[in-house]
Amino acid sequence: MREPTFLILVALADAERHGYGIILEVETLSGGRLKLGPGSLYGALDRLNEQKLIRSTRSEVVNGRLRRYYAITDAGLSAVRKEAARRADVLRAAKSRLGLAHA
Amino acid sequence: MTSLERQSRLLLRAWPPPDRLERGDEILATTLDLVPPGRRRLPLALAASLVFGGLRARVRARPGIRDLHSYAMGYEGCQLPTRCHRWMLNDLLSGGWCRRMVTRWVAAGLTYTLIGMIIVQPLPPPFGMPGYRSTFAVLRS
Repeated sequence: MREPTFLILVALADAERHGYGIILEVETLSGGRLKLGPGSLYGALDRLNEQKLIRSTRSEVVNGRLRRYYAITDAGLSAVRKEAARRADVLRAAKSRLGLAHA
Repeated sequence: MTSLERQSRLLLRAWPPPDRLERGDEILATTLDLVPPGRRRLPLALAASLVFGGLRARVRARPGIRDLHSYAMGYEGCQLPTRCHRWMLNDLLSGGWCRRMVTRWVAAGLTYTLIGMIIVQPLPPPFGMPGYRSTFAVLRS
């Protein structure tokens, strides 16, 4: 699972969000490193929707702008938890190898 | 319509028409949310993201080579991905379907022949054809 996809799922893990909200949350989660553009975001949302890891829940118009909200599905939650555990294992092994066990 | 909205709608034309219809307003809203306040022109990175995202969406809407081959050959159990269903419906319902299928069969046949001539034939047994000289060796002699 690529990092942008992983972070989008993490961003949706605790609440449904619209596109701009997802972009802001991903930027926060990545410590400012990853700034998604609308092209990358909606491509990723399409793929996740196709894989049934997320779903579109509702739409509303705010200040003349259409906001569509997305929520994670049970399958998505399970997939992101597995990926988080895998990444934690890899990180633990790397820290141990590099002598950063207590860093 | 503001100048930013006009610029964004122009760049949205990179997206396939069905995507523009379904979610054009949503993508436009997100793009405008991302523009820093006070700007009158779209930042270059944002404009590039819109255009490349649209071009990627156009590529994703078409089946890949393997899926297209299975579809053209009518292999049993061939299932195009969901994202390609609109493409398939368009292919089946628009005129010239027979001509397109014949073109695909000819292309597949030529590809198999070339693969056979260039890659498989010169290989030693059991891949190649023992007792036969490769086509290029025949042509060179």
